[in-house]
Amino acid sequence: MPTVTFYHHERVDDARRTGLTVDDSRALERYVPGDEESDPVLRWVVDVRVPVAEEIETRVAAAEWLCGHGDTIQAALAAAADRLYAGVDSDWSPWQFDVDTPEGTARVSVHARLHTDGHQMGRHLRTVLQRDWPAFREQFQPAMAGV
Amino acid sequence: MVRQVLDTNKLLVFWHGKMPKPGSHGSVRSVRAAVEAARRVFEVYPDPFLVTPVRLEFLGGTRDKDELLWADAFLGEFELLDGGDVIPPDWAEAERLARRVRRGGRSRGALDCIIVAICNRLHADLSSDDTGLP
Repeated sequence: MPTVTFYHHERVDDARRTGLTVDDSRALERYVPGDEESDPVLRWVVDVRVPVAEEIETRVAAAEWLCGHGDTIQAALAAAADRLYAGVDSDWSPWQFDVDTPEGTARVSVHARLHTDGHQMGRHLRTVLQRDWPAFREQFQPAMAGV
Repeated sequence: MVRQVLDTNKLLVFWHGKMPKPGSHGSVRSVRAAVEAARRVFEVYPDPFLVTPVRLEFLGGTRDKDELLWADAFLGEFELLDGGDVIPPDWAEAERLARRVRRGGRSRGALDCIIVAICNRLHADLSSDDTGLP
């Protein structure tokens, strides 16, 4: 069964990379450069892996999937943010959560460099939901207009 | 693919059985265990890559022929993002990074400089727990 992976990277140079892969092939990506000189080291990463029934073979098909099923990613991110914000047993990443969605079970993985507590990570994920996720959807869903 | 490069310290926690949870697996002591440890990396990181200096650092950390054999099996599960090619501009960028003196007086490791240089060239992100990166 194919897997769609949504990812969001935040780097120490404040650059942000948000994207969607389908079975290891990068389909959609939005990159926001940082303010400083390029430094590739990651501050933290979240990814959401969702099994999908259909084959997704083109960027347009990936944008189409995002348009029709993006709420699954959003719900999984929100669930992970809430769980981290509320408190988790371990203050050390990676944190992994299985979230039931209409698409099946989505797995959310969160990795932080060095010590970042879960509560702080929950706040970061909420920022992703408010800032990066809407911008990502807006950037790629218009691709559907040309279909 | 997500261009996420793993630093040696990220690989070693799997090699020593400390990931995904401490104590969940023992240290690698066979070829089979090496391959299983690599598979666990893929369960935690989607599409991880290595670069040549990370591979060299990992190999250089082995202490006998058995460990070298297991390390080869482990590393063989990963793709080198640089394709094994470290090119002259990488060395030039690494030297620039090595010459960059930051506040706090931390020294910059040669391998760390070349790893960062390659990641910069290939527009990759680097996952590392190293606090001494340039």
